[in-house]
Amino acid sequence: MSALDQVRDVRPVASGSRGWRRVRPYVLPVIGLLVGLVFLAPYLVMLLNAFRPSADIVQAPGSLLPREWQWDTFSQVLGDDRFLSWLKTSLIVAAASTALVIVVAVPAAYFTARFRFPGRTAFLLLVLVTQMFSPTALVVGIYREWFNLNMVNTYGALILTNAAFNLAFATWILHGFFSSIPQEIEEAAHLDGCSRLTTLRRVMLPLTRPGLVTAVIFTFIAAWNEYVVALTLMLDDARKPLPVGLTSYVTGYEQHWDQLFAASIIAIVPVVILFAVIEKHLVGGLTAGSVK
Amino acid sequence: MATSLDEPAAPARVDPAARPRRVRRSRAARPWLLLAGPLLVIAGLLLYPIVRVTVLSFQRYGLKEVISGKPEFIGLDNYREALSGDYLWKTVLPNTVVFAAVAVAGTVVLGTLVALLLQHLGPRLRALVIGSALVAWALPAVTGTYVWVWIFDPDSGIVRRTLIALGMLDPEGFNWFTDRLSFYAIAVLNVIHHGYPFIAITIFAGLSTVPEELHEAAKLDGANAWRRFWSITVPLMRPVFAVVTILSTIWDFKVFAQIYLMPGGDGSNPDVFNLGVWSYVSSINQNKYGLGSAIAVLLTLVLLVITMIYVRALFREDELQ
Repeated sequence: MSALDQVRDVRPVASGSRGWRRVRPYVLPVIGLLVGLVFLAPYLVMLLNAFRPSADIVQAPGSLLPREWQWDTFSQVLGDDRFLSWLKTSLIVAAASTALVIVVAVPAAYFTARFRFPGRTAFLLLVLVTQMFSPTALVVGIYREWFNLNMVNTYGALILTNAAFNLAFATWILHGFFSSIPQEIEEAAHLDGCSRLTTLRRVMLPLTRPGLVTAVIFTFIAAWNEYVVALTLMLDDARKPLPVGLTSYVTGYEQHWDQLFAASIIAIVPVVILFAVIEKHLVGGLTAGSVK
Repeated sequence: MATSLDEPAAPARVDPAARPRRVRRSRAARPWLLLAGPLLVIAGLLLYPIVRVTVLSFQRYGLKEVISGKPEFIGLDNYREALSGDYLWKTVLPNTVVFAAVAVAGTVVLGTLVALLLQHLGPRLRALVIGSALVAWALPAVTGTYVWVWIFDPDSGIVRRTLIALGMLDPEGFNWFTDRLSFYAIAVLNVIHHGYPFIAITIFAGLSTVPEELHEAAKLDGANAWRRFWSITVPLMRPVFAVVTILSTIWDFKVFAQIYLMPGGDGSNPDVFNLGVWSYVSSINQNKYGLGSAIAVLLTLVLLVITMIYVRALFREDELQ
């Protein structure tokens, strides 16, 4: 809050708001903390449930706090070969989908932002419309396609499908960023003797870093959390990604709620690491990308 | 996301000294060379499956046809089956549309409130709340759903215990998952809780573009916070609200895991299906691929209409700017 804000806050605007003004500096931070707590509540539930035996989790009457503690759930999960193969699949698929989306989206976004050509508007509209496609509605067609190509149960099929569903958003975000960079910057680079490719790499990409970060985060999270396509396509237990694999902890045959919640906590770690690595650019990217 | 389609793009500038002749020849083909990647991906992985599903929706395609590989063309029979009777109109469509409407309204209202709160927090606390919002947004729908299912478990859930302790529920309890209304109340909670942190950040980002001077001036004129919100913030933020509302609508119409992974949602309780789940269960669980595809086409058409509204809203915003 700037000094100006504080000056403004002292000025009484309407009678009756004076009492509110006095308690506001104490009430608002408390509400802020509560909101943060509500945001993170599911993680709290998962963490508490990861440290208690499965029987305690499902014992009636319910209890938020463990009545009996169990400390080795995480080591059980990390020692479980199934879990490790799901983690591996998720890492490979999410990373490769993200890389593919960026490689394909950057030239397209740059070009549509910088040049006018016949079909440009049609291309952008097509990209926009694909954003509405529901994976659930297409999943049978997707399955048939990969089945015909003999690629059911392969990483490649899942990587390409995830990339396709996230391409639209990345292209739009990056298109917005490239459009917002003044043409003069590029011209200056040209005058200094940069080729177009060098300009894109050395001048434009650093300037669009917030947009790239946003596109990377969106794609990675979407691919990391994708469920319905993986559920249909990855029938081989060892090749399932985490969201599908996790559901096998609680089935008609086994009821490992403790491991389910511990695995869910571990599943979020790569995303949090990604957040931490690019945190500085992230909020700027979300803001600039979404409101121009 | 509110990016202009109409703004004039800069004319192509080619450095004549660097590449004199080849450039001119490749000029017409080059855009499509660079756009070939996305076009290939979109056509091969999104448009082909849509065509495939549409063709399937006109065929009888059950287990017998899967084995024989000879589906029979049956015209509109699958659509007739989906559209006839009360099931679509009284169960599935309300489960999809009313659910989405309530979830979108809740997401946008809560997101706006949190965004306004963020404006009034100190920088450190603000960073903390934004950080938790991002982490909340990254929660997989699958694990989030398990948490809500556990919280509302009819036997060992903490909601049951709390309500009994408060005297608001009979000791024999109540199975929220078998009743359609309470099932969807839980689903709405799940989806709003998952969706509004991100919407809050987006709206907060938009709020910071509203010029401070307008609020100053209105304040001097004696407008209170409520009045300033409706007369300054809302009109100026219309493009942002339009985008978050329509994006939430598209997301909430596509909800799958949050329903499918709740008790009964995976096929045993048809009362709680939405369009997506009904399509999936018909195709994958019951091997009625033709019917499932017809439902999928209906879902796609509904989403297409929403997207049209989205595109029109974007264009209109651009004209205003």
